[in-house]
Amino acid sequence: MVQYTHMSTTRKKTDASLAKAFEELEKIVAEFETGDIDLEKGIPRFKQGLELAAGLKKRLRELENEIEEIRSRSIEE
Amino acid sequence: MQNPIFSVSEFNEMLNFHLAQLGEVVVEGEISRIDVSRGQWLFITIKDEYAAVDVFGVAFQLSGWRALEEGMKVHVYGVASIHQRSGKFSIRAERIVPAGEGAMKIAFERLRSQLEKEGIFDISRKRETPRFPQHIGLVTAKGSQAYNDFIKVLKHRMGGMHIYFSAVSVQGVDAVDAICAALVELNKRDLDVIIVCRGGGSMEDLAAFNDEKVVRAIFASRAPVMTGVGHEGDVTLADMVADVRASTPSNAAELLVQERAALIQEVDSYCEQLYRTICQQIIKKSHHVEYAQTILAHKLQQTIIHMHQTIELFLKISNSMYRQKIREKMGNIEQLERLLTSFDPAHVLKRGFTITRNELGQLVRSISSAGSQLQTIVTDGTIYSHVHHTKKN
Repeated sequence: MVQYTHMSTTRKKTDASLAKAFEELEKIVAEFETGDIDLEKGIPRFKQGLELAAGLKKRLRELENEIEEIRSRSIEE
Repeated sequence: MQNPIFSVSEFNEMLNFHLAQLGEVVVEGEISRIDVSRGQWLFITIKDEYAAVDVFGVAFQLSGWRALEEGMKVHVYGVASIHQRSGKFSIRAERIVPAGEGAMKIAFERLRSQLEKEGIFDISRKRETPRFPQHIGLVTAKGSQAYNDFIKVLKHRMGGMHIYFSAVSVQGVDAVDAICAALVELNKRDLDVIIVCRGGGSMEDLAAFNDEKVVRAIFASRAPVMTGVGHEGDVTLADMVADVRASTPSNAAELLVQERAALIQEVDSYCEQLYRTICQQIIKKSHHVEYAQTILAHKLQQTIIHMHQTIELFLKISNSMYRQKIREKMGNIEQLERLLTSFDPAHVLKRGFTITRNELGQLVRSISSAGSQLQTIVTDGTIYSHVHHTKKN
């Protein structure tokens, strides 16, 4: 049980990072596409976009999936 | 040896004891009568060409009983028993499943239309699976082709996910309960999606996925459920109730996650887009600066020209005004000069007027001040004369 609690907290973090990073990147691209960018603010945002992209690509290149076997109660009985 | 004498109760008990030794039996027959008492108890008679037998069942224990109808060929799984009080023989059914393709199709259709009426297959309640599922429940048979296909395709497409695998039998007596229990167990976790899959098979092999209990368990699932059952053409009731239906286990993996290469490409194109737009912006802004510089220079030049013109104009105007003033002044002076000249006594003398003084040197304006001697000043000298007499006008 303790193990799952621990897992669920770390899990939320990774979930958020992947989906959110993608969303954030899309948002930045949209900002750049539509708006007239203030270069002073735009350049840090551009940098942030590139960092997000690099993180995402690293994450997407992960090869393995972890498999955990779950036994349901009726089977255990 | 004398035969023992049983009471009726003892006899029925004894028969039940012996019948129980048979364990579970499976009897195939065609339903010739079906009665449902108060929606709770089922009294069925099945028959073949030569014989008939009664079947008793408890409705809530018999998943899919509503699909049963007279004339349907079924397999009754149960134990043979004699009703203690009435002595009537029946098979106490634990499971009644349509037998043969024809019967199964009829049962499938009946159950489908009933569930449809309940709104269980409504499109409006379908949930989408997340774009980046990280925690995936998997319900299928251990070591099966379905398991291998799903895991292989998933791994090929995307990594870094956690798969909670619940091994179940996907056909046979235990399948329905095992699948339901797995769904309940997996739903205790906070999963993004649960995949229920198995490879292809006959309609009989896929029976668990057309079972009402399984359909309801999928309907009740907290996490969205994706099914990948059988081959391309097989559509089970489980597929209909699922939030997403994949045609096969491999297809489930394909629908579940985008291919990493495609995503990486997408990220790359985002980067390019960002780079392009920022460059465009910089160019645009520098054009703005250049434009502003040109405008500024032009304005400055114009201002200088304008100032020159103003000064010249001013000078011109001031010159002419000055001259005008001088002219005016000159005119005045000339006028004054003329006036002054006219006052000069010499001029007056020139015109024939004279100035006369008496011997005291006083101007003689009347005869009374004439005296005896007079000096008369004319233009070229003075005339001295004696007064002879005076005469008043």
